[in-house]
Order: sequence, then C-alpha cells, then structure tokens
Amino acid sequence: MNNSDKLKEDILYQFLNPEKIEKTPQGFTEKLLNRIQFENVSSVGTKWDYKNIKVPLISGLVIVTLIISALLLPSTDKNSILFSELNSLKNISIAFPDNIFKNLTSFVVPGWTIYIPIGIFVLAAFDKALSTFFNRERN
Amino acid sequence: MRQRESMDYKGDIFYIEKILSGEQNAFTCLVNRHKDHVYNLALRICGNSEDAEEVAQDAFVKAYRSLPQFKMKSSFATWLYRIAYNTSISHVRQRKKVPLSLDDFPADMADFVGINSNEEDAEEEYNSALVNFALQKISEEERGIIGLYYFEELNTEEIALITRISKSNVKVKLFRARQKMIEIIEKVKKKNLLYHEQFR
Repeated sequence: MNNSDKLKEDILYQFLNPEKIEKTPQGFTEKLLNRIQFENVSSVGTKWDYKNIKVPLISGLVIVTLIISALLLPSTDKNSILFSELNSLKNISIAFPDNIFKNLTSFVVPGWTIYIPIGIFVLAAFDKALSTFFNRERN
Repeated sequence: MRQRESMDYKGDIFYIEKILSGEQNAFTCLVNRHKDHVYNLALRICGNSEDAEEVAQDAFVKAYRSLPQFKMKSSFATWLYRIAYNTSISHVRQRKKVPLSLDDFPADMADFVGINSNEEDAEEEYNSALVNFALQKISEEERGIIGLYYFEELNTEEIALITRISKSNVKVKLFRARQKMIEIIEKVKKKNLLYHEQFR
C-alpha cells in the first residue's frame, strides 16, 4: 500500500471507530420488555408445537411406509402385475456399445440403477406435493 | 478486550441460566449489556435510527424466543450478533430503497457548519457525513462486515462466525468494501471540487 492509499484509508479509520458508537434511544429496554410481555413470547419451556415438525414427520412416515412396502413386496402374490413389472425392471442390464467405448466393453451397469431415476422422480413429486400443500395452508 | 469478552461470556451464561430456570427479569441484564452493540450493528446496516431500533428490538425478541436452543458453543454475543446481522440484512432487503446517487451528497461544506461550529468542526462533520454516505452506497452485507470490523472491533474470525462466511471470504469482502468506499469518497470530492471551480 503506497502513501496515497494509506492517506485515503485514514479517513475510514478516523470516522469508522468505536468512539463513534451511538446509544440506543431512550426507553429501548422498557419498550422491548413490554413487547415481550404483550406478545406473550415464551422462552423457557417453549410449548411443543406439532406444526414445527409436521413436514419431517410426514416425510418420515412416508419413507418408512415405502421401506416396509419394499421389504414386504417379495412375499406378496408373485403373479401380480406390479411384481412382474418390478421383476422385469430388476433384470434390465444396460450395456454400452462396443464401437463407442472400446475400453468399457466389459462394463455392465447393474440392473438396480434403473430404480435411481424412478426414486428421484417419486421423491421430487412427493416433495412438490408437500410444499404445495403446506404453502397453501400457510397462506 | 479479550479479557473483557471472557468476563462477559461468563456473565452472560449466568443470566441465561437464570432466564431458563424461569427468572425472566434476568433478560433485562442481557439486554442492557448488549443493546448498544446490537443497535449500532443494525444502524450501520439499515442506515437510519428508526429502522435500527425496530431491527434491534426484533433481534432481541428472536433471541429471547430461541434462548432454549442456544447451545453455548459460541459466546452469547456472537450468537446475538448473528441474529441481529441476519435480521438487519432481511429488513433492508425487504425494504429495498432507491440507490443513492452521488448528487445526494451536499456539494458545499458550508452545509455542515452548525451555529457554533468553526471551519475545522465543519470539515470534520463533512468528512464524517461523507464516510457515512459511502457506507450507505455499499451493499448491506458489506456494511455489516464494515460495522463489525471497525465499530465492534471484531477480528475476521469472529466476523466469519457471525456472518457464516469463510474467514478468507470475510477478508476479501472487507477489502472490496473498503476499496468501494474510498472510490465513492474520491468521486464525491472530485465532483464537489468541480462544482466549486464553476463558481470561481
């Protein structure tokens, strides 16, 4: 920093210093305490409010339901359309063409990867539905 | 200053525990201890005393409501500053004002001469007003950082904790804010010089 810059900075140090600190307007504390009493703001032992946790609660419940359904699925009727569709998805394997990826000819993407985009789609739709529902409720 | 802060820290915890155990009057002590600092931070960011008072009040109400969630990982002052900083920034963003133009600053130093003040006092008043004008021309985030650094004398590490940006980013923002302010001051001075030359 050259001398000219230092001189320019001096003006900031001169006028931006703790001595220039200002006092709060008179009656600030009283006004604040009155407001706290008037608004009946609770600090200690804040009441448990289900609204604060309803989004994570519903999300958690849906996820647990999905996991339980997924676990129970193999034991259900194997002739059902849903099971046969899922089974056919399970057997899908994606292979890259030889002529494009010479070095990757032996690489086969596992069949379960097909669940990833489906999962993302389901969760995105679920998220959108939840946010629409709660935003409407808030407004 | 470190020693004073450390004593304050112990004192704050003492009052916080009292409040949490039901002695709500202890909150008055916390307010009295920190109100000037919170108000000044809000004043630097908001730019006027009415908004600053409103924001400082809101910050204390939020702090009171959230006291059970205060984990005591940082000092109470840092935690309170964070609330005040965020409240001030949101307040300014909600009430987006028309940006100040260089012409908004008076060209004549005579405007700063009070009834009893001499030329020297007028010059000091002029420079002080100019620095405050430059402060209002930079972004609200930069004003907050400048306020915490110069007025509250916090170091970049403490500012990083309050603003939740990295220490290196605080340094960069501080440097840029200073540069911007100096540029604005230079421009206003140049403009005023041209104005005076016109009337010679």
